[in-house]
Amino acid sequence: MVAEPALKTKFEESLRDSTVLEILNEILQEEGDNYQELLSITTNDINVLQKEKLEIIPISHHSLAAAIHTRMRLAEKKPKIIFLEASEDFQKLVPDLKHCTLPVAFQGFISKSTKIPPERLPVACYAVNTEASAEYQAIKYATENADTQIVFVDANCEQRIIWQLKYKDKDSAKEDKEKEERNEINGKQIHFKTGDIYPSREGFVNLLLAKANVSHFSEWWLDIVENTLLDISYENFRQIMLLIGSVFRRLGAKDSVENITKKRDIFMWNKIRDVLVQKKIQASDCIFICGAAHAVKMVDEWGINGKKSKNETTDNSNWKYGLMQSDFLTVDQQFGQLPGVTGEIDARWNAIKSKMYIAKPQDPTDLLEKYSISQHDQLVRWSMDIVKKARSEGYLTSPADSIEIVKTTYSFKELRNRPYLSKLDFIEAATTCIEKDDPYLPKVEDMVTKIIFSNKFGKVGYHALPPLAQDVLDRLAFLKVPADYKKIKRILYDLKKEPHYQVTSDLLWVLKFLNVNVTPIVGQKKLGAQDNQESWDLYIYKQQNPLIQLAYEGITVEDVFRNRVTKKITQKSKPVEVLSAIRTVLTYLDNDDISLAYLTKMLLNSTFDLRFESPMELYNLTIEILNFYRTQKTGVPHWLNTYILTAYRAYCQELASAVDDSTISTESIATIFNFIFKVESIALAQGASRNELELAFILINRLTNLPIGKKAVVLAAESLLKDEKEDELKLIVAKTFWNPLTIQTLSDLLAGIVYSTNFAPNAVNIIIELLDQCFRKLDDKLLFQWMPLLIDNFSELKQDYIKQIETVIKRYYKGSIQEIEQMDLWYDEDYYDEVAGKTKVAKVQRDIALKPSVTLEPATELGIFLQASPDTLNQLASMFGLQDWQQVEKQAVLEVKQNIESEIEVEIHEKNFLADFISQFPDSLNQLKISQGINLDFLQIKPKTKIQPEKEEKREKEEEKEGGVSVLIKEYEDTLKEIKKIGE
Amino acid sequence: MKKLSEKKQTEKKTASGSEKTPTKSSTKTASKEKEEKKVLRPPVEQLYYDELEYLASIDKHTKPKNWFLSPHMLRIFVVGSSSSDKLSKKIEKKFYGNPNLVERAIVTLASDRGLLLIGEPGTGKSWLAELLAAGISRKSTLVVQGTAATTEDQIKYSWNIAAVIAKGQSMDTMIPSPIMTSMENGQIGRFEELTRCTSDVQDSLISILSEKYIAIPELSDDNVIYAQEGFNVIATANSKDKGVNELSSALKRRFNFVTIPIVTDQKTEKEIIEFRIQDLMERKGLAKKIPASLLEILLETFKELRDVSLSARSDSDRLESSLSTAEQIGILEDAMLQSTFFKDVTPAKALAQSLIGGLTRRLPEDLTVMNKFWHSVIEKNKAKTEEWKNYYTEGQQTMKSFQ
Repeated sequence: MVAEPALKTKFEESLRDSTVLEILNEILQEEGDNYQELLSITTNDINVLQKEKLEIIPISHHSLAAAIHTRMRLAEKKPKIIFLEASEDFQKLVPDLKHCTLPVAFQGFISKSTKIPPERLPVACYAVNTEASAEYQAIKYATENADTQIVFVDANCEQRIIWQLKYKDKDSAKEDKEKEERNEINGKQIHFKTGDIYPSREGFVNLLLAKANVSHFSEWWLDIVENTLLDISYENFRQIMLLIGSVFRRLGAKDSVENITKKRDIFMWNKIRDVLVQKKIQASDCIFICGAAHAVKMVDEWGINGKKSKNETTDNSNWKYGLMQSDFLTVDQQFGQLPGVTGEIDARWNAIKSKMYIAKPQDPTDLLEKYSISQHDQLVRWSMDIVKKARSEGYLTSPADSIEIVKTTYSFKELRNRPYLSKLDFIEAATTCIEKDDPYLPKVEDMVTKIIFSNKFGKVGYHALPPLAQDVLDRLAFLKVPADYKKIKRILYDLKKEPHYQVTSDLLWVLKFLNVNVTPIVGQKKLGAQDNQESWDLYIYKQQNPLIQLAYEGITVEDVFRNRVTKKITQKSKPVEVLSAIRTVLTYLDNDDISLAYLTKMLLNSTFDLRFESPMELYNLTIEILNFYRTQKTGVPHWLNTYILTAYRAYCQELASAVDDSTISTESIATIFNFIFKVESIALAQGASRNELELAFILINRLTNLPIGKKAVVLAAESLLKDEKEDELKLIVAKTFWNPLTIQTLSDLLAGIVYSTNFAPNAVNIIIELLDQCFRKLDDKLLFQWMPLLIDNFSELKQDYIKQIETVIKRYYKGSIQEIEQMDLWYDEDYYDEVAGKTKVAKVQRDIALKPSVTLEPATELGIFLQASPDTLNQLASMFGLQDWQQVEKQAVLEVKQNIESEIEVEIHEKNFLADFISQFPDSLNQLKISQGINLDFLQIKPKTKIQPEKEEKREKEEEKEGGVSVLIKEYEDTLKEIKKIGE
Repeated sequence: MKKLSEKKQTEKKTASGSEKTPTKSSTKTASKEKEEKKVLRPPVEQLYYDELEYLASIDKHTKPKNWFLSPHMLRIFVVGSSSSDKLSKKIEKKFYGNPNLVERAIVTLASDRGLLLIGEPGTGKSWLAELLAAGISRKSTLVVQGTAATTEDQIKYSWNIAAVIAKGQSMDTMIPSPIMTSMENGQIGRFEELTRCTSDVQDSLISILSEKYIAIPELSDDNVIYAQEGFNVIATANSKDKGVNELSSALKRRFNFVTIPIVTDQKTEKEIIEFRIQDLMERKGLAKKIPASLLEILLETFKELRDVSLSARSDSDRLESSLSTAEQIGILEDAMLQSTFFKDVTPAKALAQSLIGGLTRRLPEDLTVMNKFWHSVIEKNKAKTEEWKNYYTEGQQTMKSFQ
């Protein structure tokens, strides 16, 4: 505390109570080990700065105060050279700035480098320019005054990246990785911040915020530092900035960052000395504008008389440079500021701007005060706007809220001792008053930000654009879009009436393919097909960056297109990939020889491997391209014929193993056949032989245990070569149909046939026959049982096939239901019965299945119980009037025996058939339930399953209590009635 | 008009006045004198009597009517002073959340709207409410505790039946609710767990907050109690059972919502735990310091547990507990008491036991989660120090005893 004056005496009386100094002093006390030592170091830093021959202006990025002081100082001193802390390779972009509307950013871009590891590529470096900043004011002054040159003295982009990679610590590496993931598409983005003073050590920032009683660094800067800096003399400005830089750098910098800062210090001073020698200009005639952190002497090379050393440089010939569009909110995000800070500074700058560019400016603080008065009206307007906006978004706001917001904003202002009405306070006030706890509504903060921070977009002028972008604009010049147009442009044309639009349309589709922001509203483009009417939304006048970015890849969009399409295709590419690239070229560039020559070569070199191919995709692509060429005057080109021949042969050879391969689906097999038959004519014309296919069938027919679906496909395919195979297929269908053991697979079979209809249209008839038979011949009881399974399997079929079946069915069943009854069938209806006749077993089994009530399974526990107690059984029978049940039973057994014949061995308990019968009732009841819709859910006992022990116990107990059987009878009274019905 | 509450108020004031300074620093000396009269947990206005007096004495900022401190000083009282405030006395930090939230709360209280603090259990809502009420009205005890059984009487007024039979209905026989008392005196009334009350009861607050009076139709004249300036309501609501009784939109409109997040910043959390444990231990007369290693183990365990909770796919994969700072304080207090009173229990053992015991609420889900966590995460740290190792084995033992 004793030495406190030492720091303050450096400054004028009026400044000694300044909050900034107070805070810095406290930080020195709290953070450093030795306050006295630190104090002398920092005060010495100020002395060093003052003694330095080359005048240094320590600045901060996007600082209004720094901009004003710099501007005024430059006008006063009229330096010969302005040295600026900015990457030297950006200097060449300075002349282009005059064509642009700010904010725009310098950009360096690289995709190939020997020095940067490939996983970091491509990488783009940015340095943004906004008007209300010292750095831009320096550039502007130099461009306006011929006597003043500006020299960028920082290391080039590549060198800075190399340093960053070299000195990176683990934390920031982790952080970077997260950021990179977000930017995967555009590559890594690095933002160079001229005048960056943000302390890199987290603990330090927290301390600073705590000391200053603010919640964000921007708030500290904007409300505390800026206000102090605006009011003071140039010399004091320099000193306070340096003090901030000194404290931040000595206490607030992480080692990893500090290492890089030192490297840059050395580089800049070496370069400054070189330039001075080269141009033979005195250092005292120049000004060096740099971030406050660089104004502190931390390296021996610092200063005009500092140690000389050799600069590390890299060859950066692969780098491409350009100006990119930027906007305030993006700048805030890039610089880690609160959203709106850049806009706020710009607004303040605009309030005083007109006076600033006059030779001797007025006192800026007076001007700013006027600016703040008008803010009250604005506040009221904003409050109304946000209430309206919130209401439209679903909040229950009312004008009362507007009043509250205004009041609350003023309360915040008072509580936080703000000199101006702060937008940040307004945001918080609105959040406090409007936001409730509904997580589904949009955040109030976001809405307010949109309302109060009118985001400003910069625009890169035509002359500052790269050739590719200029070329695109030239080709769209007939739209007569004004140079400063910043909105979305919509165009509409009819290619039939205005064929000259075809060129425009082609260009736009290529741009669309390259992800440049043009959006088709109406219109589609496919291979060989295009809509007549097209309408587009062109965002390229609003958001220029995607187009500018594209320029790094080529001279024209077509160039870039070719590069992108062919780059992915190599010797190792699969045919599907190559074909799809070919399709893309054909779609967008028509017969573009340059790319097609390469792609077709790659296609013919590629190898077929059925296991890794998707036959569907390959088939679709080939057919699409084939169909396209068939419509062209040139006809099918040679390369396509050759490719088809290769594919045909490859498929024929692989066919048998593909059919045998359980991993290849029935649908894929059908697609392969489809492919073979579709291109057969071309293949045969090219010299293939049908024997190849026949050979394949011979191999397939040797295969055993084919799934029924695949078998159906194979037979349907073979039927195209041999008629008798169709009958074979029919027989399989009939056999499957009549055999209760195989009828479950009926739907698989059906699916196979349905897939086959693509290449064997006759197969459709078999489907109809099959379905027709199902519904005609199968007993309802049976059909109802299988129906769910059938429906389930059908639903797995593709919608396309279902539609196909539908159309076929419609072809035959044209009219009403009556007509269906009278319809003449085209096929032999008895065929199925004949097949059935050949398999007697099946028939009997089916009959049994149709009468499932007569089950012949061994007795259940209940059955055994009933058999063992004839009295109970008798009583039971008499209960529902079956006194002569024994006779009835004998008859029934005989009947069953006759039906079943001797082929099936069935054990029948001649005695006590009724007992068995009753014990089996759940089964019968299930049938009843299905066929007659009787609700019998209360009975859940299944045959053959053991009765639960506890149930048995319960039953026994009950029997003891009430004489056993009567309970049973009571319990199953309804059931027995039902059984009686069946018996009748 | 002589009011019951006023009488009570003055009585209390003189009582606390005569005792003078039961502040934190002086409680120790005071407690030695009157051991048996020591309050377990004095209200904030008594606990920080000195600080409040000091801040009021130097307060030059404008203050809303009937406020004891100006908003500016109130902020300092709650979030602590920094050197830029240029105070001759350091004001302790009492609320560790984001100072912006405190500012929002203060500004709201100065307005016409009530303040609703929302947050998960254990985020310090009630503590903040208490601090604010103490700083504004020097009275933080006018509290209605919301439960499912809270009735409108408890928010407005009820009658002393015996007195009514004897004397008839009058202001004297009426029992005002804490809210009504705060209206009469222009103080801050508090409503804890607002969403626990049924909707109709909640809605009785609407007229209090908008018309700012309570009518007493039972009395023929002088039957309206008007709120004096300085009156406002701080309500708290638990975001975990928001759905229990959602506030009506009419009531929502009359409250500004301030959401208090769970502290996840380890440094702040450490500060809070140390502050609170110190306080709790002192209150019990045990000036025991928290072993640093123990605190580290606890913080690390919670950090990992929160990660597990975040990445869990369903409720059965995460612990039921909200894993708040308050939870940690409870566990640590428990562990420290255990290891103080039972010498054979090592601190690591005590911590493992109280942590697992405290967080395993649903059986078997929580135990399964815990078991998995113990084996996958804690086991990794086993090699770090002896204490981690003990902690790990004791934790396993504890879980075995559960099964």
